[in-house]
Amino acid sequence: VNYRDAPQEAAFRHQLRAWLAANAPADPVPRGGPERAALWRDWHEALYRDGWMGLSWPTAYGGRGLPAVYEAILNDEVGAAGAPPVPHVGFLGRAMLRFGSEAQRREHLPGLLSGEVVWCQGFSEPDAGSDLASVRTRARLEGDRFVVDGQKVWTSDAAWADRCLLLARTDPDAPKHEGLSALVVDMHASGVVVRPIVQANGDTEFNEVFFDQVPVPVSNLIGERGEGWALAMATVSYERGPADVGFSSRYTRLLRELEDEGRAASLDEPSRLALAEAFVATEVLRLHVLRSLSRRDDGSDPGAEGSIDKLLATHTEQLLHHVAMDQRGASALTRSRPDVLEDYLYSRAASIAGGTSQIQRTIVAERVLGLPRGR
Amino acid sequence: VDVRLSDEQIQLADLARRIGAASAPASPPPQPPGLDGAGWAALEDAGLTTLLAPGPAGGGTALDAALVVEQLARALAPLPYLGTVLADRLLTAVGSARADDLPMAVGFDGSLSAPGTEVAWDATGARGVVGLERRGVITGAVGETLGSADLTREVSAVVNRRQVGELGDDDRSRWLALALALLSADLLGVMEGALETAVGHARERKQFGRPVGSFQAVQHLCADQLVRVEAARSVVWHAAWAVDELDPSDAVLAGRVAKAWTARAAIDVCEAAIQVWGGLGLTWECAAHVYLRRAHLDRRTLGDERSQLASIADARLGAHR
Repeated sequence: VNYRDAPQEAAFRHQLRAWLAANAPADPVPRGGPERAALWRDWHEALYRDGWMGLSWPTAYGGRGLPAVYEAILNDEVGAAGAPPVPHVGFLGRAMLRFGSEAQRREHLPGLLSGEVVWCQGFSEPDAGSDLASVRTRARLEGDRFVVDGQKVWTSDAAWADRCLLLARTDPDAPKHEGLSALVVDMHASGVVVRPIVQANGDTEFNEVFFDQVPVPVSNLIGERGEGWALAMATVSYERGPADVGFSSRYTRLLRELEDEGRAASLDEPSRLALAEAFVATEVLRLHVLRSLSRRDDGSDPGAEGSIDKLLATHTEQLLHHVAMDQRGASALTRSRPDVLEDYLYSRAASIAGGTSQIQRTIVAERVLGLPRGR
Repeated sequence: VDVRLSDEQIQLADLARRIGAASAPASPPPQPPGLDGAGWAALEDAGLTTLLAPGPAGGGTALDAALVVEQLARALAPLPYLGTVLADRLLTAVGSARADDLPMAVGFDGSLSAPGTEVAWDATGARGVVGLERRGVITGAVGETLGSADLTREVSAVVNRRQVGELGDDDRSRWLALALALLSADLLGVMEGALETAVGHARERKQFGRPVGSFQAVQHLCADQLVRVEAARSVVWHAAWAVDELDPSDAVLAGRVAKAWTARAAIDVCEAAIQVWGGLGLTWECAAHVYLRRAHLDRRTLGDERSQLASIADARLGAHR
């Protein structure tokens, strides 16, 4: 056990810190619309240009081939610099790495990593949320192409995405987990319509996506036909990793801001204890993520244990935002700090997106604790 | 950064697990606990009682000791290992440690929340007690029992106090960091043991024709406890590592973070375990209350979560104005 940076890690951290000081955007990420897309694209491009994307991806596909713990160092430093989170392309990339053919990896991974091609994840549907395997979007095989019909929802960044990794039903007669396949769909194809969803906090990150007789070449099938469920589960196991999706950096950043404000103000004792509790939760999560990432040093997936990380991250995120709302008092409830309430409202997504906390608990109970399967 | 145990550490933990299992008391444990001579001899023979001693006999890390503490607690072993390690460390720091004085109780003040010499903690079979009064290292003899709530750990009065030396500030902080880390490790073991026995029950116990562990309400309760346990493990490893590797003040902060988390988590987990056991969990025969009792004594000792949070706030934000 060693929590200290090895010499290469220390050198990496040092370079990254200097780079962030010179390159991190000073302005907060805009709430939505083209400004948000533009900032995201520029930030992504800058990170990629200087080699900070895909740290733990194989070098053959544009990554740096570093051990998984470098993702934690990246989150630490990005958070401490107050920079926007690193774009979370990692989980889609993992699906492609694991299930894609060599040709598909070479075609898709570099663009995904560089941000040149924007991707979205087409999994959830109006009637397939927690019960994801009941996806109804159809992909019918007609000659050398699939024809896709259906609807996706809660699709992040779909409004400016170029491609979608789509989970669709290719074999309606097979048992529900076995009839699914994953396809790459061109978001600019005719028959694809995106409608942004205005969220409770005013953001328009999420979208509805409609597919009406969208043709998709058979060569866009990722993995085998019928392997969609396995691909989706591998994907979400990475989506649940707080460092894999860059969320750890958001917690580090918010804690730092709250502590800076707390030092400047004269907080009463309950507020000081609440802030100390937020520090403890953030530390516990940071240390837990380091342990999880170390375990993945052999290249293994997060697995069912990743649900523990997600539940812990959710606890930390929601606690941090409670403390933020309390500490910022009336300013959070008036025009003076609209971002505080907006971020708090967004924190409620932590226990829903990427699999609800209830789904995570069932995974932990049945697949980690080995309790008998329930309903 | 590499947060994985070495093969030697995995073997050490396994050895401690076996010693703990052999020493595990009947449920409920006989009162007063009395020293399990065979169990203590097993710890001595394996070199675990002098694990942290300088020189060839010891040379272990605080993390090694934490792994042993965790495994003994997990089995509810009534062995006075934690008190002995902390007492021995104080004597070592002032150059008066002697291996044949073990086992040894460690001293705390009357509130249990701070170092001191009013209470001999882990006094089962102890040949003496060692505590701190400010910087002074004080030895004493074990007096009358105070009737411990923890059925696996004796606490007693202290008589015949005598100062044997003084600690520097850094040594004092290091010792405090070690004590916080090892108490947190004990809490980790306690919650781990409480959860695994309760989960075992949930697999077997049937109602409505099905194991109760197949019901989501029970599953989710258990899953939340596993999150607490695994997070505790992550923070305990760091606190123990910090004792040997960080500046004294950072090591103490790491210890307080671990204690703040484990003190609350252990009570939550042990109470949830009673809930999973149902009516059986309320009986004297079920080990669930033995875990909960041990968790309460550990939680109070050197300060509960609220006391740790107050100190953490001082460290992070500056002293209260």
